[in-house]
Amino acid sequence: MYEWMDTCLVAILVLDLYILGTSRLIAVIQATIVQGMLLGILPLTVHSQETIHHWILSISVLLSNVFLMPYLAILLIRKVEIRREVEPFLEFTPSLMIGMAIAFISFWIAPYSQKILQLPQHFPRMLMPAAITTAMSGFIILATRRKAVTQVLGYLVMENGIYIWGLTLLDKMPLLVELGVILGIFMTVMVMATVCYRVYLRLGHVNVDELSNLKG
Amino acid sequence: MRDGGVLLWLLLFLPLVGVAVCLVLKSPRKILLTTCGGIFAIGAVAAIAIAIVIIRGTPILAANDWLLLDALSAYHLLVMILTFALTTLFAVRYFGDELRVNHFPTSLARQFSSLWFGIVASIMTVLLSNNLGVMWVGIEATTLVASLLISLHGQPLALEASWKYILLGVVGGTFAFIGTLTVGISTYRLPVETSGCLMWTQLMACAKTLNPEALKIAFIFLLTGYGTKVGLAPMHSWLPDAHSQAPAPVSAIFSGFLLNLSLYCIMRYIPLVEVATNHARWSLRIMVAFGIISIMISAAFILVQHDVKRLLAYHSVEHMGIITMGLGIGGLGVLAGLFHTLNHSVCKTLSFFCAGRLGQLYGTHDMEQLSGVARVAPVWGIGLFASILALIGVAPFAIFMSEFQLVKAALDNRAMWALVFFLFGSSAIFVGALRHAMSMTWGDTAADKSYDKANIIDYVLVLFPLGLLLLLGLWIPEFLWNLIQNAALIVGK
Repeated sequence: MYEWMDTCLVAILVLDLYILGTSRLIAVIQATIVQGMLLGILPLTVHSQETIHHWILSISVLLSNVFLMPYLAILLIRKVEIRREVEPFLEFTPSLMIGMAIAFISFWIAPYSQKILQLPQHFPRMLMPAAITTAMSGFIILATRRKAVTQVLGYLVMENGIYIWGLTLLDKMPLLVELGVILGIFMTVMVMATVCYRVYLRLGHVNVDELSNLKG
Repeated sequence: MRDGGVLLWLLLFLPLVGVAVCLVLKSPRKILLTTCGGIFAIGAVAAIAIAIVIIRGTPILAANDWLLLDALSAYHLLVMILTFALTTLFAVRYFGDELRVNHFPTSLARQFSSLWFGIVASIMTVLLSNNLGVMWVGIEATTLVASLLISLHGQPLALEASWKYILLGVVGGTFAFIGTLTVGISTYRLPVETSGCLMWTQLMACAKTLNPEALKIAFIFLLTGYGTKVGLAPMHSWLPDAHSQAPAPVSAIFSGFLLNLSLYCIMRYIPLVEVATNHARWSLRIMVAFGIISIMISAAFILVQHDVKRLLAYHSVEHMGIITMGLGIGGLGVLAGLFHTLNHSVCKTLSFFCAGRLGQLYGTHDMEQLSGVARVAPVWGIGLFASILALIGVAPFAIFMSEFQLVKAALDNRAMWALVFFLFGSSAIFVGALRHAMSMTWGDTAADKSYDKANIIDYVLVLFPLGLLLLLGLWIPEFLWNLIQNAALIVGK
């Protein structure tokens, strides 16, 4: 029943590892575009009565994750003139290793947590591992990269993971709330990009480690 | 639409009208005055809605139960309009001074006013929504608007604070969202209809049958997520930066209401978890622990503080810790915690007004240079001194009363460890803050400081909150006490 969904989720998980291991920002953005497309397909792979609900959700995710947010991100990296992440606090190879470890662990704990949360037996197996790995990859990028621009991309990846987790409530959550959340995430990326650009205009750089004058 | 429902719609849409009007107006002075008028109009509508809730004694529901104003949200709405009305008046005074020296162009005025109305709109979304998902969206919107307000003037340090806040804010928001989703998952086995899975009233109605394990997991995420925005230690690191770098009116609403708003969200989940786990006090113990950590950490930082706005920011961490501890103790503690919310908000807006104005006059927030403020600007200087006295719990101000009730609640519930830590922490803060306040107020004045002449608005802004704190310390009006009691019943049945 969930073959297509599981296939999409595996692809998303592989993309997470690619994002963790690469330093070129444009490559990260391209990977998030592909992730966004897969996220858009996900609601359509679930069979249910509420087809219109799924289609609207799918279209709004595609609009936001494939067009608007990547466009904003590309605009931002052009404006602040940064092409790649240099010398992150955690190097690329170790962060890739951690990402893989998280993927393994999440596969291992998924059955237990599904039992605790009393999720049904026929629940898609890949959903929880993919959600945890994606969210954690995003968090690793957000927490360990030196450029504020990369942190914005990290937030984007993190929210992709949360969106996957949100699919557990696909038929239970009203469409209005889902659209509100998608709009909220888009606005967040927009405001983060704005503040990041203002930092660049005012200080001439977007290095997070130099933003440390406030202490105590 | 049932009676009163239209008021809730008005509260949601009036701020948006305000945004539109402020974007059209051309002169900065007009924009500021319109903002002031708009906020007072919204306050009047809110007051009617609150009065209906108090008099009728039942919640107002509207829009197919999507909008809800019960005692808990009405009480927070009351705190909100009080702080916003005062702060907007102060903003006119504060930015009016910048206007006189041409530091406040039309573009900045428009930015400020539209963000100001924007934050009111998002706060209304949080307070009035019955759906926990929409509540989350409102909190996210508040975070975004607030982060833009922090760096209103675009100073490098303010931008740094803004970035730190936004980064921690979005991580906290993500945690809170995971928690919200998990609350939805706890209804998985129940035949809840589509729109009901995140409706607070429906969840409360079937709270006994929810999956307690899922709710426990959800509560941990919610407490850390929303707790980040409350400024509970150890997730408080953004708070002193944001409070110290934001323009004074923004610091005032940050400390006066935005922190409480996130705490309000946590309050909505406490009864769910407690009923589902059969009143095992599981969530309450965690709340007490977070409260104690916040009080202790803020005490340590208050002792070594140099910047007056950072000092006040750590006081916020302390008082949020006290309220959280009160909620965790339960029973009378909830009542004390909610009463403390009002007292702290009134007092903290006053202290940020004074600190902000003195900062403007002196050009610094360093407490060593802010010396002898009582002589240079008597109104603001004495106001700051009195508000710090109130903050550290000197009788007969209202904060003393709520802290006294908290001690009583802790004794009644035999929460001895909480009591010991609370007394130890607040005595340390008492000594530390009093030392800072004395030297600031009565210390030697630099010779070149000229005497600041206060006008009538200054007197109102200082004397009204002080009078209110004094009044609430000695006598609480019956309608207010009933409202607080009903709100407390919602949090801790």
